[in-house]
Amino acid sequence: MLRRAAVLTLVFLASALLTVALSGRAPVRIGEDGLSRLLVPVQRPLARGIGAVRDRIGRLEGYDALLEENRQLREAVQVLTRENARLQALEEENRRLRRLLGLRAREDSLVLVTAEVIGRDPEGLRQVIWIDRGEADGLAPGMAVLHPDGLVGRILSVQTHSAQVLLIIDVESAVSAQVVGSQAPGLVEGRWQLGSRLRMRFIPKEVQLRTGDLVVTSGLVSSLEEPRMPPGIPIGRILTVRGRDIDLYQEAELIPAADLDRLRFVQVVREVRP
Amino acid sequence: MRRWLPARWGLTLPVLALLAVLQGTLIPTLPLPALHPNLLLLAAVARTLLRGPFEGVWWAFLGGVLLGVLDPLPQGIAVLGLLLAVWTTWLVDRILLGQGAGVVALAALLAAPAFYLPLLPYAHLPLREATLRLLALQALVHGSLLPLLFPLIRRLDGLWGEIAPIDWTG
Repeated sequence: MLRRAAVLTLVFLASALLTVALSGRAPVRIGEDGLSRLLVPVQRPLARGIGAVRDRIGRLEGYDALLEENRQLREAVQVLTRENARLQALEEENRRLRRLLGLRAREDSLVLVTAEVIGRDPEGLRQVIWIDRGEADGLAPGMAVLHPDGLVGRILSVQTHSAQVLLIIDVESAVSAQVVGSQAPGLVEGRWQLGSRLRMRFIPKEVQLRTGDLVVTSGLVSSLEEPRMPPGIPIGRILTVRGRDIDLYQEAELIPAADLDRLRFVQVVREVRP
Repeated sequence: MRRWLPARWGLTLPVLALLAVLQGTLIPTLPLPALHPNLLLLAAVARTLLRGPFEGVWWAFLGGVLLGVLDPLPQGIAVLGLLLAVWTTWLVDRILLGQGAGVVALAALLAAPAFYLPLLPYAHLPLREATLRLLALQALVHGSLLPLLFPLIRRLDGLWGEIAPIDWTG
């Protein structure tokens, strides 16, 4: 029995190493797609049930907090309604001025696909979520994923009816960004595996940064093949700033704008129409 | 004729698929992420202790393939990790055979880091203090959880066929 186990181990070991070497290629992708088609129909109702239970527990635990949140939201709606009216007036003025200067109108409209979060990395070593939309819904790797509160991440890989999303806090994530107000550019990188959440790097040293400053996407991408990242999407707020006299740039630790631990629904930017 | 597939393999895949789905949906929602157990690792270790390395290797392979579908790491890495965990379990079992429930705890305690080690480079986790702490926590979680679950797993295993002929009472 032991000899058979050893032989079987060698066979499985060889096939595992071969699959690692062929990772991302057609035969492995087809196999993974087939298996994920079997798992997703089970994952979806289970994730929905777990989400509903968590919501119910949350509601029971935080009734007073909900009342307080409700009051704050009502106040915020009033402020935002006023702000919205002001911005509409500014937008109209901006449109008129651009027309006067002969500039092309710049109004990006987003084609969004709403998706439900059906799982997370089972080993808990990467910051990745699964969503229930895939290639069949027009999704492709690199597309931006949003939440009403801010940027969630980018599509990492797609199957026919599901996709993996790399969250912005994973170390493999890097997003071109700018600080609202100062317009200071920088690069926001994930830091989860290194013990924190987000770090904005390469911020010009002369820029004055403050705790609480909002950081948004700049809309820049590293190559023309990469799907467009819509500009102005909140990424996070500055928590601490670090910069020494000898450094060329300064860095800032950020808190993500969206609550990435409690995502249930997200929106994928399938297209950014200029 | 020698059989290369366990007789109970028909049930093996649905059980492992269910564990994989729970691992990807329920487990990540639990509080204290550093203390999340890996159900497929526990299953492979328990299977090895109950039925020997041959069936353990099968569970490691099938469980690893399912984990590979759900995780962002290259397909095959989880298989490597689980195979390492199965042989670590077998080694502990061989050295401490007949030493009681301590075998279960020690096997799971050592199998957990064996499973996670090949995964770390692909998860961009450098081998530094925080990662070593994570490995130690995982070892403790699995080492303390499996002895608690083992009687239940053994009973469930008995429903599939004869009770495993191993005396864990010490």
